[in-house]
Amino acid sequence: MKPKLSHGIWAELAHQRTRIVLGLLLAAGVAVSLMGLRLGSYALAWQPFLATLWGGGDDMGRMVLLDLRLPRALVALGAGAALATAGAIFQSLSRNPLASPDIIGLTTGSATGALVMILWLGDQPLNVPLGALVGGLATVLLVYLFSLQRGMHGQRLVLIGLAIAAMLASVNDFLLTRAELDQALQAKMWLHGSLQGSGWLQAQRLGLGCALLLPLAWLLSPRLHLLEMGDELATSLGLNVRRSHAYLTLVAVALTALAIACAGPIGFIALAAPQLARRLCRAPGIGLWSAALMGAVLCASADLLARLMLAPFQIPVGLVTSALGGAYLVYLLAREWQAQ
Amino acid sequence: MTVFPAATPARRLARGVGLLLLLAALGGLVLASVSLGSRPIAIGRLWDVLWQPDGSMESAIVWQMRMPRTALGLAVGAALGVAGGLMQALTRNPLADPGLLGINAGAALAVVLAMSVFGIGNYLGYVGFAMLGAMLAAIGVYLLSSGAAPSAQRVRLLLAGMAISACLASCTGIITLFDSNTFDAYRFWVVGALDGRNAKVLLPMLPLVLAGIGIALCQARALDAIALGDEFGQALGLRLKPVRIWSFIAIALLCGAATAAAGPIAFVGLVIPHAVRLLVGPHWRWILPYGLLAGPVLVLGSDIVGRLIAVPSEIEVGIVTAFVGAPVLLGLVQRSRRGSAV
Amino acid sequence: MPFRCCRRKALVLFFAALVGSGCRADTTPAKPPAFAAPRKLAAGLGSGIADGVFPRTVVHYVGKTTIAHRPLRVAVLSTGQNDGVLTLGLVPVGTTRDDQGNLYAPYLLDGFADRLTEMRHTADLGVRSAPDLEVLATLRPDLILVNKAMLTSQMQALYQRIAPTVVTRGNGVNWKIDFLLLADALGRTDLARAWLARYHADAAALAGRWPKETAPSVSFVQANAMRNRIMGVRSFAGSIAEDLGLQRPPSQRFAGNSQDISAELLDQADADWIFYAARDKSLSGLTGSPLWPRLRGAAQGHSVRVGLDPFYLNAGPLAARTVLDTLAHTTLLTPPTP
Repeated sequence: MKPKLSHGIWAELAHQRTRIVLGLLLAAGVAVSLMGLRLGSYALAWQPFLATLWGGGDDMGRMVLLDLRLPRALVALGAGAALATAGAIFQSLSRNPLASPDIIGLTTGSATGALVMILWLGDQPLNVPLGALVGGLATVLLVYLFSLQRGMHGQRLVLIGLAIAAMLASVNDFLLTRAELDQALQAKMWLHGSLQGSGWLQAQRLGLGCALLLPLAWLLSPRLHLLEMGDELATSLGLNVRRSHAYLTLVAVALTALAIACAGPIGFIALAAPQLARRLCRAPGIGLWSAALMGAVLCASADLLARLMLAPFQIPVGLVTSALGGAYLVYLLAREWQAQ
Repeated sequence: MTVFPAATPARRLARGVGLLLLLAALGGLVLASVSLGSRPIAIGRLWDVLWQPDGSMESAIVWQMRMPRTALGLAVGAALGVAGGLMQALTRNPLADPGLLGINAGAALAVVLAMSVFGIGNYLGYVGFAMLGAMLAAIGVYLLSSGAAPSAQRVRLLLAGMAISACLASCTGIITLFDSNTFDAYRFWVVGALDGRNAKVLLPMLPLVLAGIGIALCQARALDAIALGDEFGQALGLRLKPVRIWSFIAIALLCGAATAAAGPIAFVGLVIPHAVRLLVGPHWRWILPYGLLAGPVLVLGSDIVGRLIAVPSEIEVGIVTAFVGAPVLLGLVQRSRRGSAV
Repeated sequence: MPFRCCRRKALVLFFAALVGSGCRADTTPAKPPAFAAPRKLAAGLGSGIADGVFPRTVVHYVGKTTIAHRPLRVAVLSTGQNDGVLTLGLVPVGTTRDDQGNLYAPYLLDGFADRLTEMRHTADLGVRSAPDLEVLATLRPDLILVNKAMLTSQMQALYQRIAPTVVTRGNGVNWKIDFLLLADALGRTDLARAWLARYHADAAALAGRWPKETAPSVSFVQANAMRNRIMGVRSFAGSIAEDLGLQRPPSQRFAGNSQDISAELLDQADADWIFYAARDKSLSGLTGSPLWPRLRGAAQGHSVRVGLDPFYLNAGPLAARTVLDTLAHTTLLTPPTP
């Protein structure tokens, strides 16, 4: 007898505090994006800014706003949402708050694939995302195969992922030493995850992917909530555990691969956003909506910082998120252990 | 005192044979390391130069390049071989590598700061900075993980290492992004290499390595006692905290010194304890001393391979160990899946 | 377990592919042209229009660009082209930082000292690998110059929206044709041709001082703490040595641009004259090496420390002049070894 899954999608919104947090995050996201559109090295006062938004304004201003800042803001929001949702799914499936695409080697694997492409075929619009996709998916397959017998629960996944990530990091270092300095600099820039030069091409790809995958994730979220209660309980309620695992994993991997292909391997959003969202909402279980919005806000804020902090030096957004994310992780660990 | 049964005759035989094999391999590799390199030197000439160093180019190469390099390889290999075993014993995690404690990231950031901010260009300068960076990172990781309950501490240690490594790696990334010169030098340091150094780097490192090895060997029995669980150790009257602290200090000294001298060489600390365990069995009091011999075998062997396959350039030893170690690591993961405690 | 054999094969293939890609990045096709540095633009490149006539359509290495009027505000994204722009009489309005973190290499500040105040006003566009597009847009340049190597088609489209963009070839050995191409874009080809004619005449006059077989051999080597790199015949410095009729040691007559050498093989950097520079102010791997005193160039006192930027990093007219003068003055002080 199949459990009633249809109303589970909205279960997250039933929680009052979650609704408030979602509203706040939405407002924050809009505010940060507007700030990102308004601020930048190209000075745009309020008057010309609003004029350009409404279709007027001069050529260069229009170009900066509509071809540089707007697609970049959209990519930041989309990548953040995609990564955070994927992270939430991974964490929920493995019942481990530290599971994330970074840790299971997906990020490093994508980096390896992209590096191989940059060295082999040069940085054309299709090659690097393709390399990143293939590399990432191959790595996940590898990790999954190795943890097949015991499933993806507990610390096993983290350990295997760490080991494979370490291995691939060595490969990346090797590839970097074999390249010319200019190529290596470019590859390094990509490796950190950079939204520099993101245009409508990336925004469209990401938009399409998110439009397909995020609703899919939300449709699957009731299964996620059931699985959180434990495999045995979920099975007794009629859920096919293996199949649900497979679907959810596929969606999470696809979301991560999409984000990495469009924006590079931006670290720590997948790890931190679901946890931060959960702390704010104080809801039981991991909520996908709140995680997605939190991820979008985090990524957009980080990109704004990266763009403006040391202008004209463009910091890759991934460095900002790693620095902040690492600090967050340290804080998280310190706090949890004092409490024990 | 031990709760384990006495070794079987087969095991004792394996240990004895293993020791002989390792010593033979080590001796052979030391000879090979002195004789082989990107410049081929004929055996006759080599023999002459070994007994009567003249001022020729071959003499300079053998005495001032290959000898110190071999000595460095021995020291680094021994340090990493023992540190790896200690790390796995301390965290009871067969996939733990000493670099996971943030030591590599700390040394890397210190070296990048030395290159970029302080403009230091020679190895001795790097060594000092790297050692300092490694120690500070290790202390940070220990402090972060010390608040946890003992049962959770071994996992927390790894996680703290990961967190601090990420922070430090970000800082390193930012500096190398803006300073292309530093990036150019750093990307070759970070893979781990033994070339270009001279004896000056070895001397400051040696006391630290010896101290670390001494501490490690003293802790071996205690580590055996807690290998099956903290409760066993406590039942035997062991105090856990000193064991942990001393092991940690030894790991920091050994891995810090090795990384400071040669950069972070991957996979040695990870793979050596497992390889040695096949010979001598699961007891740390055997694995650690044998690791002392097996580590240099791997490092020197990889270094020699790296010198020979890319003439006139060289492939850094860290890359060769990664290519050797990665498949071994995956094989280990496959084996550990079937039944051993993780 | 049915997957096991597939797993192992997959791993082997994976690693083979990675090693293959690493190795493949090193191979360069060996097709020696007549001169190391090509002297004429390939057919079809450039605009084919006389100086001063605008608008013009310039065919460059990644397509073609129409320049509406004579460019006066030039933004240079690949720092090597700063030299060419300055030589042709303009000062770039914006440029990126080079490897040393400078907007302009010191030799440029010395060589064009009369335009120092203008050069100090050049806008900072950030790092070479990620120029700040908004600062670029604020500058409203008439022309953007960038090398092919660091360019993605995505970025090229964005640059093109800001200003007409001409893509040069880059890679030191192409300095003459890149100079001609950017002169074409600026509408100052006659100036560039005259400069090159003067250069070739001077070089030929100096080369006539000795017959080819007895000219001294010169070696070019860059050092940084980690490794040494020797430059081949088809490199910037190598092309100037060729113009001067100087010989190269056998170890430096390889097909590619440059080669890394291990510490034991330092004698591959040996020649009658050794010109060396340090990337990060550290020479411990080169002059501090125990093998250094055994190189004949060093032993005879014929080793010269030169500037890193003109010899190895910037491939432009002033750098070429600097290298030419250094080579000629040092090697001509002593008669060529018979």
